[in-house]
Amino acid sequence: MNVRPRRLELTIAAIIFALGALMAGSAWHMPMGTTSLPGPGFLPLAIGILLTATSLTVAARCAMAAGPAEEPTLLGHRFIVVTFAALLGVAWLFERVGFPISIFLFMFVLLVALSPLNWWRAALSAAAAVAVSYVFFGVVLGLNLPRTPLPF
Amino acid sequence: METIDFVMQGFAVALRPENLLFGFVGCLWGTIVGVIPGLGPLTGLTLLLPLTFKLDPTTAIIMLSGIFYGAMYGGSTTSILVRIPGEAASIITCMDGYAMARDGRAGPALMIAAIGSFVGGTASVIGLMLFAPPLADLMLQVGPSAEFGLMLLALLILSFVSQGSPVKTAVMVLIGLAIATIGLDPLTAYPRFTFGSVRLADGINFVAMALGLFGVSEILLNLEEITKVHVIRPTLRSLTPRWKDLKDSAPAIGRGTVIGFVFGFIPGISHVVSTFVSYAVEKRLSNEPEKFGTGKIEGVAGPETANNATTGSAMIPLLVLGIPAIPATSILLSALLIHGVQPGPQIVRDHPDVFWGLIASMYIGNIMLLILNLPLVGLFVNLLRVPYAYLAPGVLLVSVVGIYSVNANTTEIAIMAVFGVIGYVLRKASFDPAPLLLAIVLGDRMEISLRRALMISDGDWWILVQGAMSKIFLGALLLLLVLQGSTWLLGFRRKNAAEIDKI
Repeated sequence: MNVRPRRLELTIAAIIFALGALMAGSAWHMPMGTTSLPGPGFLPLAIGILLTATSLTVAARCAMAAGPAEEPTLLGHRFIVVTFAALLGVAWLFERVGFPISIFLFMFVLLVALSPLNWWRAALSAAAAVAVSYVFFGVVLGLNLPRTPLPF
Repeated sequence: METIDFVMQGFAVALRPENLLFGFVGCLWGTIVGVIPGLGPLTGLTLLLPLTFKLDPTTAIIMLSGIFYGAMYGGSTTSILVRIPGEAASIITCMDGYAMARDGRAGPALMIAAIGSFVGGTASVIGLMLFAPPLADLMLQVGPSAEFGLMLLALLILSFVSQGSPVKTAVMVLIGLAIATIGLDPLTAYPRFTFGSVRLADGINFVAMALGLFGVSEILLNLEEITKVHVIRPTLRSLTPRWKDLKDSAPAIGRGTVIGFVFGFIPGISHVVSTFVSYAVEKRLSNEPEKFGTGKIEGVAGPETANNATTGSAMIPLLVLGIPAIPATSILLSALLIHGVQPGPQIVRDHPDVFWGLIASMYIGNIMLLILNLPLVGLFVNLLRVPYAYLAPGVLLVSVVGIYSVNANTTEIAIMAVFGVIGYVLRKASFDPAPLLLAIVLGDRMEISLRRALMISDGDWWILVQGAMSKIFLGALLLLLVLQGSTWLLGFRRKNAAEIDKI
């Protein structure tokens, strides 16, 4: 997906503005203490207000910046989407199906998507990665890795 | 005399077999991440941080510091041989280093870079050893009001010297401070932004955030630009520099050491800035400034010495003040805290094993790196031949297992992934996430020191400007603000004048 840098900056500024406003709004309900002895809500409120103000400054500077036609920025190449999905997938599967299967699937998906390997070479490489990483993390470093519920 | 006793005690710690082994592993891993473009010291540290949790605190810190200064060594190799900086501090080395390599003088360039790195690194450790203990004694007398001034000053300097626009840096600092407020209030234990979740009571896991913002986002950015590189391969014999090379580079190495050491104290991107300053100084002092960029050895010697000289001095604010001067040291700070070592003036007294052991290990590490980087340069260069499409899944695998090992919690893998995407988008829009990380580290302490100072003074805000140290820190803060304001005003007026001229 190609986006204009200015549009990207404005979107980020809008998100930060919303976060700042949300923070200030939530902090308002916390014990504020007094100006001489601030309570737990004082700093979050100040940060929230400053965040909204600075995000508005970013947006204003971005909107006012006159310049030549911008080169669009590539955002969310398919490799990035696959990698992000693989990371979320391994987070979900790690304790459910155990270290060997989740890491095998994680490596297999990434190798098929990112490298020129065909599926069976990717499967072999993923299996090798599982074996090597198990020996390193599980045996050498003694980390407690989740076991597979399967009988093998 | 007392210092010598402590140093000997430090060597006794650093020379223990396990410390030597993990120090070596750190140096080796640091060199590897320094060589591979896109994986700098920050990524290298965040990747291995979770794996140190099973180690003894001293061993863990020795290993992580090895990664930090090892990456500074490794970064020069790819700058010289491929014209791709392994990490940001080696950008300037590309100019003369690669020009020398193209002229068939890659060997001397690598050798001088290694010698300069060794001299700069070792001299800065001596500086650390001499300056840190007296500074720690001085800082022991600092109260919460002065501590607040110091934190504020650190964040302000960071905003000025960071990459990108100051407003964007300010936004990043504020987001970092906002994240630091998540969890129980440090003084009253009131839950803030926890949304009823017990897991959020301790805040968001710093390691997961750091690993996502730097490690994962770096990989995502690199995945878009998988390129083939042309590598110049030097032979071992060609490494020997000529007498003239040594003579020409000696003064540059001396100056680079001083510049790097001084810049290491400044929060922000001092290790990068010091290389540019060193290069500019060498160019100005040279009889042949026009030849810079065409293969002048001083253009390699000065910056490479300077970036390694920052490593020792950057440790001083980290260890003695608990302030990370550069992003990589914020990971070291969190490592110290995770291992139960509170950085600050009391570290010299409370944890002499860690403090002096680390100093001694840095001497040993610099020798290890000199040995590693010269004969094994060919081996490290071969790493560049491994396609990124194979390297990235491997690095992500280490990240996944590493972050899981922190708390045996899969949510943290998801947090790492989400922060990875956030870091990727922020960097695409030229928001530097490094200040965010530093603000998270400093935010908690800044709030505690402010509120404690107000409690002590019974709500009198004037306490913040009372006392010699508070006055010094706030004076420096005001001076910086005035300087920055006048620079901005001058630039604005010049820009306006230029536009009027155009019309």
